[in-house]
Parts: sequence; C-alpha cells; structure tokens
Amino acid sequence: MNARRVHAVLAAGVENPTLISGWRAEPARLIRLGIDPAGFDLDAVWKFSGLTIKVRHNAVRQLLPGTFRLMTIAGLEIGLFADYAAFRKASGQPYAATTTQRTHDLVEFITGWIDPSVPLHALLGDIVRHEHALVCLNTPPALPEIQNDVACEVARVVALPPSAVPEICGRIAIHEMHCDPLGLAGALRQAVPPLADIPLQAGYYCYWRSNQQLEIAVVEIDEFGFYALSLVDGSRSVADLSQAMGGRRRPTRRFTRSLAQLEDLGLLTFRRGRRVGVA
Amino acid sequence: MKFFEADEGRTQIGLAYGPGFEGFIASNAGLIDYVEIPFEQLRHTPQLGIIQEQLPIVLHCASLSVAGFIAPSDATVDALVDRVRHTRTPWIGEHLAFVSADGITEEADRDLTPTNLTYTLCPQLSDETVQRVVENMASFKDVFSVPLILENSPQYFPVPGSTMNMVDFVSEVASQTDTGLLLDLSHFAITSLNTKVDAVKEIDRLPLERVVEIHVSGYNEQEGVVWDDHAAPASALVFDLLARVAARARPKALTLEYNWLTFPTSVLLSHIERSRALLERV
Repeated sequence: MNARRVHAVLAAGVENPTLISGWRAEPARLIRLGIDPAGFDLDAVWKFSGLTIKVRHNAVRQLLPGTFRLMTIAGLEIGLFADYAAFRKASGQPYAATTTQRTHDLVEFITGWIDPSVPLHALLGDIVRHEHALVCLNTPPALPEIQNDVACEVARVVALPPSAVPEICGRIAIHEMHCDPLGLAGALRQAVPPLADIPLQAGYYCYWRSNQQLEIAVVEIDEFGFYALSLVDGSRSVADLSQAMGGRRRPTRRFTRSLAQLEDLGLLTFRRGRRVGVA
Repeated sequence: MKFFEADEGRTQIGLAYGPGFEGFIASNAGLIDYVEIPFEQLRHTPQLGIIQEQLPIVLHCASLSVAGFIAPSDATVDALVDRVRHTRTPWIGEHLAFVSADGITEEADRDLTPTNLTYTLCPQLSDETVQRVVENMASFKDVFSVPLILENSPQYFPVPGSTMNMVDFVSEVASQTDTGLLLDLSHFAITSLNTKVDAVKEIDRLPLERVVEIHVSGYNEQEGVVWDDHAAPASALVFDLLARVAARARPKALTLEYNWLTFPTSVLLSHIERSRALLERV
C-alpha cells in the first residue's frame, strides 16, 4: 500500500475519529481510499486519537491532578479521551484556547460520560466535580453553580420572617457525592491509592469560599441544606423556599430552624424583604 | 546565557521543561546539566527562553514531519532556524514520524488541504518511507547549522503496508543517512511490548554507536495497548534497556522526559541518580 496514501488516511482518522466509525460500519469506504481494511486496526487508531487529545489536555492536568490520576489508575483515560475526541468533532466544537475553559469543557463531558453504577466511574465523577469546584471558586468570574457574592455584614434576623431573603455569604458550589471527596483526593495523592477501601456512601457537600477567608472550605451538609442552598438565588424569600421545597408558604419552625443552621455555619445571611403573602 | 557544551567524558543529564521545572531547579541547583524544550513551545512562548540564564537549552521538535510527504511551511523552518541560532542547541531532536499528511476526500465538505495533527504519528515502516526520510533529511542538510537527530516513534498498532519492524526501519534510516539517533527508551519499550518482540534482544540490533541523546519516561497500559505517558515514572524495563545501551555507547545526553511532574520529586531525584549511575558505571 502506498505510504503517502496510508499516512493520509491514518491522519484523517486520527484527526476526525467519526470517520473511523464510518469505516468500521462500511469497510468498502477504506477500499475506495486505497486501504485494505484487513490490515487496518481501526480500534487502535480510535484509541490513539484519544491519546492525542489527552496530550492536548496536559495543561488541564495541573488543575485536575486527582482526576487524571484516577483515570490512569482505572485505565479510563484512553477510552474517555477517544470518545471525547469523537464528541468534539461530531459537534463541530474546537478545543478552547484557554486552559480554564478547556477544563470546564472536559469536566462537562466527563460528568456526562461516566456511568455512576460503576464504582470507579462514580469515584471519577466525584473527584472531577470536587476539583472543578475548587477551580471554579478560585476563578474570579461567575461560573455555573456559583452563587452571587454578598457582604456578610447583615445583622442576624432573629425570628427569620417568611419575607426574609437568604443570600449566600461568599460563593459556593454544591454537589451530591458518592463518597467523601476529601478522603478520595487524599487517597489519590498516595503512591498506591487504596481506591477499593473508599466507602461508597452518598453525601452532600458544599464548597464555600467566604468573603472573609481565601481558603475554600468543604462542608458536609444534609439533604435539606443541599436543596435549600440550590434554591437560594438572592431573590427568593424564606416563604418562596418553603414552597419550592414542597411546603407551605408559611414555613414550619423546623424549616426555619434548619435555615438558621446554615446561617450559623456562616453560609447564609438574611436580609429583610418586603412582606409577602403567606396564605 | 548558558550553552550546551558536549563533554566527551560523560553523558550530561537533562530534564524536559514542564510545570514545576523552575521550582525543581531552584531547590536542586547543579543537579541537571540542561533543559530540553520543544521548539513549538519556545515559539509559542518565547519568554521561556529566559531559562537559558540558568541552564543550556537542547531543542526538541515535532514539526518537520521527516517521515512524511508534506513539507513543513517555510515559516516553521525559518522559526526553527531562528531558535537554533538563539539557543545554540547542540542538535535538534526530531521525531522519526509524520505530523502532516495529504487531505482525503472522505468528507463531502472537505477539500484536499493537508491534515495537520498536533501529535506525531508512527509512519509506514517500509522502503518507501525510508527513501522519503532520506530525501527529507537531505533537504534539511544545509538549512540548519546543527545536526538533526532522529527519535524512534512509539508504535501502537501495525501501520498498513509496513514491511519491516521498528528496529529494521531505524537501522535502515541510519544506514542511508549520516544522522545521529535520539533513542527514546520508553518508545522503544512501548513498541516492543505492543508488537510483542523481546525489547532487550531487539535493542542490541540497533546501531547504538549512533545514539546522541536518550529519552527516559514512563508508559501505561490501557485498553490492551501500552501508551506513552510522561506523567508516569520509567519502568524497570526502561532502566534495563538503559544499562544495555550504556554498556555499548556513550551518548552525549540523557533527558528525563517527566514534563508533567505529578509524581513525587523523590522519584525524579532517584531516577536522575539511577540514570547517572548507569551511565557512569561503564
């Protein structure tokens, strides 16, 4: 087979893995290109395209070190990046120019790619969201999942009336995890990460960068806190939250007590709102 | 500015540039002799050249597509000539591979402009490609003021139409040109493992006296294939191969290609020490 032609077909397949899918389904297309399909390991070329895209994301490794470590240990890197290469090509999206945006794009793909019923995938989903939350909270512009910046100087509203409007004190990202993400990140820093020893147990975590502290706190919260924080947008009142979470507009004492606990943690502050109907 | 000066009595040890490099050399002054930087990275980020105030630079390159049929642009060649002049690199380490190829008409909306990749590909291992390499090397002969040395590719799958294995291909290129070799031991191990040949026996068939520089880095196995991985430490096999080469040759330089320092510094330090010990034992 003519070397020049072989190189052309190989390069085309690596650059555009969707072609490989087509050649798999219709080997006659390869014959028309002057290539004998019998001697062409399309699966390996597909995987190789994954390697090339993995290398193009080397700078992202600095932002998601645990994610890359886990992908390597679990043997998921090549397959994942090969699928990512095909996905980007099929959707006509070039790779972002900046490392930060490339990180956001990759994280979005990984979170959709994993099958959470597979334990190693579940761990990958946790570590990538854990590290992405840290990246986001260390990045100044507003990003998805991050709430607005507000000052934390509002005096506590003792009785927490239904019209009070909760606001996030600083910026947060919240996630439902399959394991303790801090434990997982610690394990991945070990020479031989004991992944099998990491208990899979659902939990809710809030990544919080307050206005007073530069360090990001990772706070385990309960289910109520998770859903309440996901609804806090700086305009919904306590009554609105109660209703959105399936209760009445006049919140129960238990509801307001739970909200007050988030305030005690420093995550929320309340400003007095105009009176709202609580019927 | 520091410039590489070959020392006939010993192999100099260098490190590929990557994140954390400055911190590493700040805390380990004098430990390494040079830094290897890809020409493409230096072209894109010229300010990296400031590192030459501390260490000599050896240029690596992936743009010349010496085993390919599409020549690099004049602008690329000119930029490389310029970097060679500035850095006074002792040689240019280029991949025995291709990075550009003819376009194909598979896609209706695509013309025949060449396909330019961002990663080098192992070429067809055949007489036809050898001849092409010979022609390409001849065309570069008077362009650069320093030698081009050629690095063996990692082979991940059989390239259609190949008629020889990697050692035969590299040997044939070496016999038909006067080029020196950049022997990447990890690539060599990867190729041997993927093509199921005995790496230790195969390395003895290479013209090791032509080896100018050695690369050491890691690899990992995924999806039934062994892949290059600069974030992984070199395996025992790679060090066995290094010992084998050191017994027969005295390369001018050895570069640890750990340009993604995500493994402990202690591993890097031990690999520098181990490499130096193997090369100085002879």
